[in-house]
Amino acid sequence: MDDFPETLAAAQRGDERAFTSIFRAMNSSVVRYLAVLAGNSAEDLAAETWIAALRGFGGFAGDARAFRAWLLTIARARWVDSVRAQARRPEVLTDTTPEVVAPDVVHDIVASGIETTEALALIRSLPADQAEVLSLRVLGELDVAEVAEIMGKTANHVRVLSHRGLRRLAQVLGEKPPEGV
Amino acid sequence: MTTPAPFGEDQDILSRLLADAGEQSQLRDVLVALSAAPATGPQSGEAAAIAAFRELVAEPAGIPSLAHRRRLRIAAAAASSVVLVMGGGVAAAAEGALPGPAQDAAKSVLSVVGVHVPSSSNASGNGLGPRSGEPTPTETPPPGIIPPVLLPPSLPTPSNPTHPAHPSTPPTPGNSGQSRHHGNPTPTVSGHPSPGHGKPSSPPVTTHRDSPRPSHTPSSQAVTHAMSQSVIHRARP
Repeated sequence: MDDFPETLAAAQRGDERAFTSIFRAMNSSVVRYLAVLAGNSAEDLAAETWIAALRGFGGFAGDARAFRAWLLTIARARWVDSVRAQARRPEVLTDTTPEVVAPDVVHDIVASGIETTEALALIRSLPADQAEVLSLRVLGELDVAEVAEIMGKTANHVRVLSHRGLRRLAQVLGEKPPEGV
Repeated sequence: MTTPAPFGEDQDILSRLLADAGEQSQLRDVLVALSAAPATGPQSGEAAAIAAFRELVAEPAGIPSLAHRRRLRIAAAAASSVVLVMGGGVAAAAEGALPGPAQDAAKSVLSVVGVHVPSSSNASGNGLGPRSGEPTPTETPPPGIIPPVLLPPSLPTPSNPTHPAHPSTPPTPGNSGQSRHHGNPTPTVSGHPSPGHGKPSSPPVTTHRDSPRPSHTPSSQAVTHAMSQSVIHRARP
């Protein structure tokens, strides 16, 4: 969004069309990031994220990149809250098979061209920290320092997690993993 | 469902990630698909987000809610009341109509902002405090003497009923109300000398029944008494 400052100012004055424009530009990143973290409850958490963001919407100041980082920070906090709430609830046994990306499915994905949902499934197959780092870097378009701040880790740790995630993803895809750290 | 699109604002991040990933096309496709732009048009959850926007942002920024309007109304009423009270207080202080300490306080406060306010000592003739020439609440008349101003006009004056004054009696030349006893100071507060408070300088009070308000000064009483005596003397054969 080239005109993000003007659009944000209009939305903060109550312009619904301006807010809709911001929502459509930012919501996919929020939902996909939460899909990596929380799976099927991503859309519910995204709705909670927007409500929480709207409470502080009038006081936000910054560009589109800062706004996206702010949204993803709120989304992560919502996800952490939901995980804690689930931990307090008794465990419910279910017959539903957990979402797993099987090797033959990966082959089909690669052969037929990758869709976003399938790419998300591949990312989710990574260890949680690596998947979160990659999703924040790719979906949020955030640099190492911003990701480190959101996740509460050091920049070096984020770099290591990012590289390991890429290597593991390449292994899943059957390609030669990237070298170096 | 979605259209792959390049990174919007920060191409460097994807470039760096892809550089880390080397020339592996499949890995590149996964990352590009992950960040693909969503389909145009309404997204899932958009209606709920817009409803929340209307409630949390648009309404407070535009038309105020009922509670907000009520708060505004109460604040306006309180402000107008304060303005009325302050204005009334300033006006009363400017007229010198406040009680002594309040008048002094108003003088000290309003003189700072350049409003001239008389002090309580200067404003005693205009204000609510006791005025010169009028009896203060503590100056009660002695027992047995009823002030003439308190008597109804239909009742006879009990002080000297044997001296009826004729209403048509013209005033004696030279008796224009001035006291002939120039050596005696005229009391300023009360015209009713009481026994035991010094020597009275004039005879007892004799007032005309029809006079609307008798004079309170002893000198006027003496003139009234002298006029009555002259009428009595002329009426005698």
